[in-house]
Amino acid sequence: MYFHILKMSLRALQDNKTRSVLTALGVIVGTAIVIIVLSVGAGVRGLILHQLSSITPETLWIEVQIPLKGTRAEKDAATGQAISSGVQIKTLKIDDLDDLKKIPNIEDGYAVVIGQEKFTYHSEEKRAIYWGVSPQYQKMENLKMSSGRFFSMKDDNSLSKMVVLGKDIKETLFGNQEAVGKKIKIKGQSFTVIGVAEQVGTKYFMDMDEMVYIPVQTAQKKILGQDHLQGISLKMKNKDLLPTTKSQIERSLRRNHHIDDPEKDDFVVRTLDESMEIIDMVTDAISILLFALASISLVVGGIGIMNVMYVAVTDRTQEIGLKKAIGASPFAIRFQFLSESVVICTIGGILGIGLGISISWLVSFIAGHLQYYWPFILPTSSVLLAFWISVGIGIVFGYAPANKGSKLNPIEALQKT
Amino acid sequence: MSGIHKTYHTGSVQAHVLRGISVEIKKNEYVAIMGPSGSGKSTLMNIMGFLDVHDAGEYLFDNRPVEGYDEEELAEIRNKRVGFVFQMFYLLPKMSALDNVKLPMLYANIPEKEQEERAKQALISVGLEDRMHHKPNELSGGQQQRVSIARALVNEPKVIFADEPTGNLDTHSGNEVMEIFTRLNREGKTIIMITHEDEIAAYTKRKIIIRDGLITSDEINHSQK
Ligand SMILES: Nc1ncnc2c1ncn2[C@@H]1O[C@H](COP(=O)(O)OP(=O)(O)OP(=O)(O)O)[C@@H](O)[C@H]1O
Ligand SMILES: [Mg+2]
Repeated sequence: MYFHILKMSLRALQDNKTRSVLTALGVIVGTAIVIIVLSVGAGVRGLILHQLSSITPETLWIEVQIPLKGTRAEKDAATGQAISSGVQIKTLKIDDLDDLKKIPNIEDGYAVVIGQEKFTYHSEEKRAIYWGVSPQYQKMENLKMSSGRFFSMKDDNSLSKMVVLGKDIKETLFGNQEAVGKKIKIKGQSFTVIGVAEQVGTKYFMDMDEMVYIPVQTAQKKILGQDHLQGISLKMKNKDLLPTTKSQIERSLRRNHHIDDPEKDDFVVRTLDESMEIIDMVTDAISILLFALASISLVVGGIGIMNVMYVAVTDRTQEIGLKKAIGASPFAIRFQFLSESVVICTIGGILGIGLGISISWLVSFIAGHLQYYWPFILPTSSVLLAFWISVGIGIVFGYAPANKGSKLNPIEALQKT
Repeated sequence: MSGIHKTYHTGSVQAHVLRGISVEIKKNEYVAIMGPSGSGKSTLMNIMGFLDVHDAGEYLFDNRPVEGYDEEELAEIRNKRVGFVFQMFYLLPKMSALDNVKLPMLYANIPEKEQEERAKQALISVGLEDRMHHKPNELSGGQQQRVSIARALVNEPKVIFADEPTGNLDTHSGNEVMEIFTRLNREGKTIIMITHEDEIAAYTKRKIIIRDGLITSDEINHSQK
């Protein structure tokens, strides 16, 4: 019997194809958004993870921060604000790095200062970000050279004025010419190009091919005129010793910075886990927003369905009366109309899933064309979720009209014209 | 049934339509209910046929009081124990004659194969073996009424109610329909019908006349056609 009633419902919908599709529009959009949220969300995560892929569980990153009571997020916000308004925290030094490298579980580390300058070669001129880094950078970040070499400890200690160029900035300044051995000007000083890096692409959301690498101490002394650092990157030998190593680092830095109250730390040690938490927080926030959007359109769609089903019950009052007069139970009538709304919603849901998949795929396709690593990920759970949501909408919003139909008095319904 | 009352409320207006109807109809009777327009014939039949409920009085069906049946039970009685034939036929327009006749069996949970078999049998018994796959609008009024009789018969109810079944038919089709009812009555069915025409009532064995919600005459027809 149920199979038959279902068949009758399908026929009723076929008779009203356009109306059914229009009704299902809200559900189509809603389920499409659900798919997009989950699929694009996973894609964004993939993108971020790829950008940060050189961060391994062994990596630790030490950064300066404003000493402040509060949660991690509050400290980060305050530090960001302070730095953008020109406050400098000058306590992190090369000596700190040297001391940290003495911790047994620390395999290696490099110091970082970041700046922006105009680089000139003859008439060619280019503003670019430079990284002042320790020579260990090359090995730790696995930077390959297409010509020349990276700088050495000796170069750094002797404050040699030399640079390594990213692939694109080399092409901007030198075109096809050989760059190694040539001199470029930074702040009126002459620097020798000793190497050109292979193509890297984007990393940490920066275009590494537009980047210039300078020995960290040269950058500090000859360009910036400072002896503090922005950050230190460390690599552990054994990632399982993280908690001990982290507290050893904190102790060492507190000793060097004369801090006895951990609340007053002017640095922060970041780990992969912590970075993942931040990524999750960001992607979750975006997802929640989009889910709210999806819910709204699903509710709107549901109300649309409810409306159409009320109209259907009114339009077919006589049919309901006849069916009841020949013995259809209230349950059978309810089932008939409920199955209609569920079928509309399910078809809408399936169309929405298709639409969502297409859009998600298109986004990753376009991002891929723009040289971003943006994987197209379609979680099975997202398809199932979207499907069951649309079925649920059909039940929830179809119930009231179906129930109304099932309660009609047979003779009154039959005599309606 | 005895002392049946029914009042309709439309806004502030009340219509006391049935004012104490008492009547007993036995198995295998063949009854015509007559009376002027608005006298309450349809109202009475709808109550007898479980399409409507009375306000006061007692109604025993098959020696059981009908008060206290719930909606699902009423649906089952309408489905299996009684059959209805209406003046307006009320066939579903998008379905073939055969599908219309199958409908009551659908709600009785009868297997598809048996539905097909019995619906065909019922249509054959009303002489429509060559019209089974026609839609209602491809059939004449008489043919449509015969489809609706087949539909009323198909679940083998003991009682058939017919509210002016010939009201929309010409004399010839009307007589065809009445011959079917007469045959069904001979085969053991109880038949209760409303009509305005004496020629139609002449087919039956008992004639009840209603005026203003009361039975004014109830007599045996000794000269049944
Ligand atoms: N649903 C209703 N609501 C209000 N009044 C109704 C309703 N149904 C019937 N009536 C009234 O009840 C009275 C009896 O109606 P009923 O249909 O039983 O008459 P009838 O004898 O079948 O008449 P006819 O021969 O015209 O079919 C009429 O006055 C009618 O207006
Ligand atoms: Mg009437």
